[in-house]
Amino acid sequence: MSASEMVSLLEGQGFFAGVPERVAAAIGELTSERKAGIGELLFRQGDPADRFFLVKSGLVAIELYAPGRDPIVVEQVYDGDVVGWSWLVPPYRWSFDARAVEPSSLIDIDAAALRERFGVDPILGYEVIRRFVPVMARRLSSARERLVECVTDPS
Amino acid sequence: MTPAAGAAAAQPAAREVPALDPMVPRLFRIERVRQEVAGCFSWHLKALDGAPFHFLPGQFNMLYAPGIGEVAISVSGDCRDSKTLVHTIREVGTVTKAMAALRAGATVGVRGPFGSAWPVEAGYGKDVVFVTGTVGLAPLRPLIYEVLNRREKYGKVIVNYGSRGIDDILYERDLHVWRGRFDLEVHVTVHTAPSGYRGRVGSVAAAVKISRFDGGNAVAFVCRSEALTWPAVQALQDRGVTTDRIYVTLERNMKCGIGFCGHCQFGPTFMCKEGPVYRFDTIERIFAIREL
Repeated sequence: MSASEMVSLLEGQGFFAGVPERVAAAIGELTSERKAGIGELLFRQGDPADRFFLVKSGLVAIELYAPGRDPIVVEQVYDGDVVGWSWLVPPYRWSFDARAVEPSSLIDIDAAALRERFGVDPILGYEVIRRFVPVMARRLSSARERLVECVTDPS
Repeated sequence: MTPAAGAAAAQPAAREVPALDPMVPRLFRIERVRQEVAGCFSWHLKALDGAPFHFLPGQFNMLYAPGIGEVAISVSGDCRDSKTLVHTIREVGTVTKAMAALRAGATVGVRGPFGSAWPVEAGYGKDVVFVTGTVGLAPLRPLIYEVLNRREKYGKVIVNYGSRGIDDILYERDLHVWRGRFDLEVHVTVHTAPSGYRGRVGSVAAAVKISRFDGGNAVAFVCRSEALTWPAVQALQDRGVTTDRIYVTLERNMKCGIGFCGHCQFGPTFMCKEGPVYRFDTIERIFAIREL
């Protein structure tokens, strides 16, 4: 896929909708497409967080590894949403596992290289981070709601 | 039977005030005990006097375990079945734990029905959205039954239900049946699930966000713990449902059931009489007052 096709692909994703052309081009250079089969791990808790993914189609589960038992699904990511933001937060290691639950078509972005560019291109950093912050806020809010549910609603 | 009598039979009229002394329990026999999920069971009751029991969806009864005490429990069966009274009870305190030990054949006392009902007709011509979680499905189930009985009068009907895990889903059989209908959208979400689970994981509010309904022409019925009623209302408002089209059911320490004792006072209202079902805009102001 050419760089321009990659840019159009990015712009077509809800997550990067409205991103300035120059920024889309910069991200497009670091982007590739990837397929994941059922059960395939995209990343593993504790490993270096050097990528993130946009889900074009499919379903990805965010799982928590619990010693002595099966992994626990704590979040799901559907079409148009993003998987992975640990690459933005030191020490840049994954906090959870991510696993495809259905055959998934993904956009794979080299986050380590993108992070390097933030230092020399603050606009790029701003445009990316302003899209990640609402995702982080939404997931934090969802986790808090479920915590309140666990405390106030009976099992 | 005359046509008028037939219509009356099709849509039973509930007594808003019990005809008998409301402080004297009627005796019912437990016909069947059904274990729903861990710590939660349903009673199927028959009146010893054989008289029918009429109620409206959303109303509650005071259930009496002889020698132990009374608790307020919403009716969770079908309001068109006046011969069988169904209550789903969660074991949380002394009385409900004693109730959990009772078996089929035991006799219990019932006072009621008490309180306000879900306004079934408020949704005519509109989309209907149910928002509930865990055992909160019990007070809503009679309304869901009734909406399905009158299905042609509504637009889209959507059930959003959440539970902690896949083993805590109340009325799973009902949810399966409802999900199989072409005229009903059912979203079941859990807090956590085992790896490989293909159902939805997340909060109920998140399920509301993805439900397909017209917020500008929808009515919503919410049964959540009070701490979670507000996030549910906010999620509905985000979808365009105004608070005059959102109905919630609340919970207080009901005792007498007829507004005498004051245990369930909620601002200027007694929840056992004016509640437990409220249109949210009528309580929105006092809902935010922590001291209440």
